[in-house]
Amino acid sequence: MSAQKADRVFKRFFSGGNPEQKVIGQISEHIRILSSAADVLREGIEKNDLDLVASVADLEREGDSIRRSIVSLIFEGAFLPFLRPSICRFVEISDQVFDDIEDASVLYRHAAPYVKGDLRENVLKIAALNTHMCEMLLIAFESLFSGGDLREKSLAIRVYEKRIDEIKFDLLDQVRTVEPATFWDGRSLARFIDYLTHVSDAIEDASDYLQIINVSLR
Amino acid sequence: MLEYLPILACMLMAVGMGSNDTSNAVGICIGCGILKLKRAILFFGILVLVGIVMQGERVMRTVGKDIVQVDMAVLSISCIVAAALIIGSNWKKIPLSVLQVLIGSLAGAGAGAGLEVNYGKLGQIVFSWVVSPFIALILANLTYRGIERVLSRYPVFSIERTLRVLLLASSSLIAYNLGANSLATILGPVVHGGVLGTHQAFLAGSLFVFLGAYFLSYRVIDTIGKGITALDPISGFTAQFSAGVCILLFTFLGMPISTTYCIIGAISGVGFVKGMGTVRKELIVKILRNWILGPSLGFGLCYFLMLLLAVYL
Repeated sequence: MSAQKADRVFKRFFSGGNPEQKVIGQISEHIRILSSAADVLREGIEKNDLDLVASVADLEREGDSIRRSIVSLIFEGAFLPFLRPSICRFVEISDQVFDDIEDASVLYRHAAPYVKGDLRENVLKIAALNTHMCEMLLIAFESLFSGGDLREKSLAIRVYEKRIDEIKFDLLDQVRTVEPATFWDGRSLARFIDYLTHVSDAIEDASDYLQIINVSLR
Repeated sequence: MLEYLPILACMLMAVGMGSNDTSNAVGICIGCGILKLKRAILFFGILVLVGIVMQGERVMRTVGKDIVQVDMAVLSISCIVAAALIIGSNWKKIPLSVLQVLIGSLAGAGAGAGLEVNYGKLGQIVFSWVVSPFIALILANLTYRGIERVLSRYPVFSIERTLRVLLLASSSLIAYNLGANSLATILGPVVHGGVLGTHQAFLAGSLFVFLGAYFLSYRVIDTIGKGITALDPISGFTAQFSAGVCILLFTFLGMPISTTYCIIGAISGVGFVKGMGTVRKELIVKILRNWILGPSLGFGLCYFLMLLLAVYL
């Protein structure tokens, strides 16, 4: 029996495969798709391409199916029980980010005519920062198995979040000057901005959960 | 026909060991999902057999030969009383140590029969019972500090993978010790009493431990596995590993000691690292009470039964 085959038999006997590797791979994939969704939203707003913005929903569905697979793998016994709740919570919060991006993309369809001038510039800045935050979240997650300094990445996420908060105050002032044609247009614009600015809060929460995972076995 | 009675009693104790002590060895691995229940029990059974074959001889000699040179009456009375006490205490939910009851019974029966009891050896054994939990406590304290320092340098998922291997290794150590020490204690009297051959005893003893584990251990495993792993895996590993090393040390010296008490000592050692508040003092008092109760009951009952036998036969 070759060494590789013996190793495979050993692994199968003791763990019935390697669900942990699958979960890690799927979480990375989940965050990668999240990054793509944030970037598609940014690009859609930048080009004012409503079809492109609408395609965020497809990415969200893909992310949802990966989330379900991750949760079921953890339920089947991936990872030590001590880690499972924090990993599940992290995946749920990442999925919340997906929902926020999707809701922002849906509402943009109605808010688009009012997103112009300085308001548009700030919206684009936030959308770009959201993309960077998603990329940083992926790097932070990868440091849990590659051994990088997680604190550095968490700090970067907090800095991005602070910048978005600063822009958010300007944005709220600017949005008050907009005169929507109907109540529903105004409501869509306000909620679009709410969802867009909430993405960074959810990413920051997800990053906090990475810290919890990181210290839970120490 | 009479010679089958001590064999039957010993095999009953082996079944009891399988049902109660399997959780000490593999409960944490099952709780963590490292091993499935049936595989864990098979794995446990094989390691118990390996343990008694490799290192059971010394402890068997101490219990079966060095305390008292057993004859058929001493053997029958001590084994039957020990088995009855263990079954009764389990029924009444008072956890008594099989080996402490058996050694107390052997010494009591020997003294009651007027045989020469080696009180020096008995003193050494009792001394081992006293010091072993403390050695496990110190080992656990040092191991916990060491492992925390080493593991903190690695990424969390690498720690998780390493802990899986370490938990499996510590479980194996406990299962091995259950064969080399606990099962050897149970089989020592029947082997050195001449009612069962060494190899027959090894195979039969391991088989009955396996049967006890297979048919009766799942409820205890469920409780212990989930109870321990809900705390934290590093503490679980430290407790098992330190207790395992401590028992192995005493097995080399031929001293029968309790796995459960060593694990409790080791858990207290981890508790001391985390602060005194985590150590349940009322549990320690309860254990101390049973620790005195088990061997004293065995000794007293066997002593008086042997005296009665001498009067009426």
